[in-house]
Amino acid sequence: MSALTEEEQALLAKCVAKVGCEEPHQCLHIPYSEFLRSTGLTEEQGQLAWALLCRTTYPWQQHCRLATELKDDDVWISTGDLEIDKCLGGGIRLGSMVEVVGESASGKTQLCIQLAISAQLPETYGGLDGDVIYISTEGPFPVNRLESMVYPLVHRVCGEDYATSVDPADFMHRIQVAEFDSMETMFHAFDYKVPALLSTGNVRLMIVDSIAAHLRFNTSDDDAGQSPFAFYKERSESLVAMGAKFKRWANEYSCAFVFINQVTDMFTGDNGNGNGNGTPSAEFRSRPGLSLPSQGNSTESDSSAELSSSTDMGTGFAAMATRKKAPALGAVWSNIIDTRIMMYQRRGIAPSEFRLASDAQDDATNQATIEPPSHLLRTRRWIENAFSPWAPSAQCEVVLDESGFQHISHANS
Amino acid sequence: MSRSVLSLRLPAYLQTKLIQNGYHTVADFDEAPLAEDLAQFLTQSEVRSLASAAQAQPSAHSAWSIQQQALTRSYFSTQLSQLDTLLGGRGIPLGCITEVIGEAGSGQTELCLRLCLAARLPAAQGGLGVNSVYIDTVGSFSYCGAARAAHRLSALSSPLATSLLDGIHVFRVYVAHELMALLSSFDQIISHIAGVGLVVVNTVSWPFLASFASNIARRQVLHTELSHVLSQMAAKYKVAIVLVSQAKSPFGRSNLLSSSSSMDGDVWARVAANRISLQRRSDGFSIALSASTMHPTGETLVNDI
Repeated sequence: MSALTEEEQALLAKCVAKVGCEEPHQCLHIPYSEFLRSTGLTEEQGQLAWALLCRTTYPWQQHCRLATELKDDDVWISTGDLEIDKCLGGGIRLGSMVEVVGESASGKTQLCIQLAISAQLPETYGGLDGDVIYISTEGPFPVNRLESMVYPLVHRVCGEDYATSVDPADFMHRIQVAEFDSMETMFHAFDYKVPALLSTGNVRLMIVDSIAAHLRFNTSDDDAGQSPFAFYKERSESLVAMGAKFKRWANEYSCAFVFINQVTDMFTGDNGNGNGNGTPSAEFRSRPGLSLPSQGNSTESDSSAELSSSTDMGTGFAAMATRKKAPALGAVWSNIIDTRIMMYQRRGIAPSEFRLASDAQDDATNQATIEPPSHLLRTRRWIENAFSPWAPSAQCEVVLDESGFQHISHANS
Repeated sequence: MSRSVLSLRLPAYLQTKLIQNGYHTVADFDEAPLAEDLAQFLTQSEVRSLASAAQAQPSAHSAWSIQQQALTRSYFSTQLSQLDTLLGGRGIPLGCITEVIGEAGSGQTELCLRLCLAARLPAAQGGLGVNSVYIDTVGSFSYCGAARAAHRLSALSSPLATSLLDGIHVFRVYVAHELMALLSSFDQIISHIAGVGLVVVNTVSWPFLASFASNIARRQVLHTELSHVLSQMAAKYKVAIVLVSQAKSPFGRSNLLSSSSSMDGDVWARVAANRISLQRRSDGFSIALSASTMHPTGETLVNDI
């Protein structure tokens, strides 16, 4: 951008003074007609001044990019498993704001630890050789889990030779952990500490575990008399301010931001049974027991068709909705993120809970002879790409072991 | 009866000067001998601007000429037959504003990408062969997303699909003043890029929220200003302008049509010819034409946007 002439600088200074703001770009915060009135410039001069303001605020020539030139911006942090990556469109994209949401113990933190290790891997192994920032707001950072995941995960992704050559401590050095126990300290860190860390240029991933912890309820003592409305309004404003900052940093520093979010109960007037008492009944909590149709024709394949991973869970989105749960922090937050990853699990049932609906009376005799299908006994987990601007929604059944999450191919189940 | 000085398009200080010196209507200074008198308290350029303001008459057109203009309007197909049907069988109109409302994840970005590509298709396939300007205020644009959108357009071979991408010009803005600056420079951009037929702003709500999170009054003032700027821009350059705005609150399970409202209120709806609402369903997407100056409202279901 060419330097401004003295004349131009003087004109800008005059505009700023007349309009009564502090920075030239703030002159663009008022309508053009108001700008003319405040500055007292003629139509001609006003247009010149306005054009100068636009040129200095946003020199469009420097910002115009052809879609084809943006191909190099598609850089992904792998999850360490190719099928999960495919489900997410490639993994976690640099420059994106990603939310990982699920009920408690659905594996959100585990997934983020897996990403934190994977991001550090060398490029030859599909990593980005990057540093990681981990903001922890829900209790102490799970350092033991991190340490125990390094070798198995690196072994799975890179092979025996590389895995034995690396020291888990190296992976732990490159993760900067900050723990916060309140909203104020967290936002303070977002304003000062985080940009300082990002400016090194080496950070490729920042994880906030979780964004909801201090924002869901009004826990600060000094606002004892604050009305709920004021609390939500203040929260929305904080989220928006934070979101705006992160979006810019994500692009500027080529970094991905992952936010773990909790789920909240949705209360509706009618809980689906026409009862209308407005509270979530036991109906809507995770229930391990399941009924199968009459056993006359049911073979293993029939029952698996009935209860296959895709049909009975539906999409995570729909499954959560039928269970009257939604991501916390509301619509304001949902509009700040660009990608939502949902994690859900269905706990295994004990054999004693397995019933055949039609034979409920004779269950004593039948239990001895019918073996519940294996896919009902174990805990099953799914990772779903609920929405994303760069990939269609998709889900993947996964298993969690010491190396983190891996996909399950359905031929095996 | 002569026009009052106050009704002329002049800066306020100039109007004040004229009135203070006894000139209240156009008739007072129209006569030639008074030119020297004017020169006593006005500069030459001010006298000139006075003359041009006095001569400018508010214009009026007949309803007939407006209809003729409407008949010659160009459209491009969205390449989604159900959506084209909702839009009267013709698609997105040039010279008009189309508002798209949806919650997070309802397919707004997919629709924007689809429209950019659809506009670029040749006329034989329902497009107009025009370039697009994609103003990205939230970081939604990606090459891979655009390439996927290109493959979703019906019956296109792979090399042809990706060649459509070179018609999309992307601008990333973060805050309100950047968006205002960009749009004020639009005449330069139009002449630089040439052949632009579509401008997409995804989303138009966010930059104002980001700049004025707590000041709803300021947001509304700027929204109104921008809506006028965009309205004039669409008409002047004969481009289609698609504005994505954030939906107000979760839609009910049923009626997309009746529950559709934008977080910005109806500021965009007031200048939009068409208003499209989007909602993600478990089996696809619900698209509704929730308001239009040209077509009846309607709703449809598609598998993929």
